[in-house]
Amino acid sequence: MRQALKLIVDYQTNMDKKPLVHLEQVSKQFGKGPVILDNINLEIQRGDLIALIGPSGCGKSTLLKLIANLIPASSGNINVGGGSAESAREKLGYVFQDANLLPWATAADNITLPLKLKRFSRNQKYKIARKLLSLVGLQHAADHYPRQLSGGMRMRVSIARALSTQPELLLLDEPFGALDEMTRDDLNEELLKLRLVQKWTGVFVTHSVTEAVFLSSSILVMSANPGRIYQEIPVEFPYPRTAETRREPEFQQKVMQVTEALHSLREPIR
Amino acid sequence: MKKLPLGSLLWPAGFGVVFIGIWYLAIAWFKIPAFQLPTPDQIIVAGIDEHKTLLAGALQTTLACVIGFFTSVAGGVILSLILASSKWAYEGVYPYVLMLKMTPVIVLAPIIILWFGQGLGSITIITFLISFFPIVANTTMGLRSTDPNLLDLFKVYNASKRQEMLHLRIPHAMPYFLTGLKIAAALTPIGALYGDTVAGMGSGSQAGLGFVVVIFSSQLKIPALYAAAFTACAIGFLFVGLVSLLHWKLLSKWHDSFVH
Repeated sequence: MRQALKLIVDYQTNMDKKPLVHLEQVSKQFGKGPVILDNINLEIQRGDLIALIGPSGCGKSTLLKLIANLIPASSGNINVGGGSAESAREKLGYVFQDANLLPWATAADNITLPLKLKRFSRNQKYKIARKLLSLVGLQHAADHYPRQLSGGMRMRVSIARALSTQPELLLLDEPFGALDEMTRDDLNEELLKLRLVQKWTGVFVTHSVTEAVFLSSSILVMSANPGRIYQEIPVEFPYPRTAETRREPEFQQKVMQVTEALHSLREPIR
Repeated sequence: MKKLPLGSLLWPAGFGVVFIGIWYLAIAWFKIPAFQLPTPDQIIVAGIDEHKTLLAGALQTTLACVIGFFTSVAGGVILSLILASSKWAYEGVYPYVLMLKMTPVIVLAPIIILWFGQGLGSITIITFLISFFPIVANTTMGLRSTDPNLLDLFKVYNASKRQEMLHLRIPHAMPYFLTGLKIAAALTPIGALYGDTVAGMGSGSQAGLGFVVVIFSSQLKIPALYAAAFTACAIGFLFVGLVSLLHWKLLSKWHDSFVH
């Protein structure tokens, strides 16, 4: 009995040590166009929250699409969760730019769309929708259509939709890019709170240095033409992080460090 | 949900009164003879005198409209689904749909009559041909113009082709389909009336409105001719009105065409 238990524990620790996402020498080129991503090697451990930041055209969004298996890599290996690409999708949640909601469906129906596609029963969908709506603070808006919601509310619906399948891995493609700074800060804090409830691993693309420092456990600064990982900057502040965190000098220092890394990428001005 | 705007009827009603006034004044002022432009009251009297012929004609034409319209909707939607479901179907078949569209129905009418003879059969086929294209063109466009980001969303969640069609492409195509339906609804009476004029002879006493018009003009019953024009106009309004109502029912909740 003890033997068996030990085996299970071993197995689990092994599982945990294995990266959830593993990219080996991944490159991407569309047709005969320029190389978008060049020789990307990346290991993402369970529990990580990785920020991808860099100049436009560095292939951040492409990298996310490769991990989600929305587009094939030109060369190299991508492994998510140790299984096949099909089984990896089962573990995946994806938050798109600009909310990307179905305009003809209510907030509740948008949230449960992934469940509908996975043929959950009406009852299950209803329960999960109620839970997620209250989790993102939109109980009152269950029957509202996207056009009746503000930008921030739409993004909340979009995040709730991505969480509806209880994903292990959440990919976020510039989720808050279109929002004003106040709303963005609020949603950043909410996202971290949501992570306390559902413990997903995350990869997100952003243009905002403060957002990257606030959310992530590690920042990957990328360079463009071709897209490469230029520098990895770990962010050590412990979670949970709150609005207070932004005011600490260490936070400001980290923001400076990332900003400088980004500036050093700039081509010299002629 | 918004209320249908009754207040906005006031303006068109006012203009109508002004228009009718100008009508009477113009006839008196320029001494326009009644065989060119009868007065509104002459038209109303003629309409009442001929109401049996007009009503029977209108009924017959409406029947042709209904059959032609619904077959073109059913056929158009089915063809659109086929065209949207695979690339080769679209590229292979759509040019022929266009060809059919480019061939004027006026040219096809004698051939259709040759095949199906005088009467309701040919008339509904002519109506079908005229309403079919806007439905196919618009619905196909709607089914094929889905936002790539939404397609990605469905891909992320492993949606089947059928689910993608049912839950994404079809709802997305609804506004396009309804636009096509509106155009088709306006064209349907034109098709049926034209069908009447060329294929209405065999109908005997059950002549459609288009054939009634032919008879009135040969008998020089000019006020009755005007009354027939207004009757045809009413059929058109009926069709377009019903489709607009459907449009409003289906889209007012979510579509931008209803944001004011």
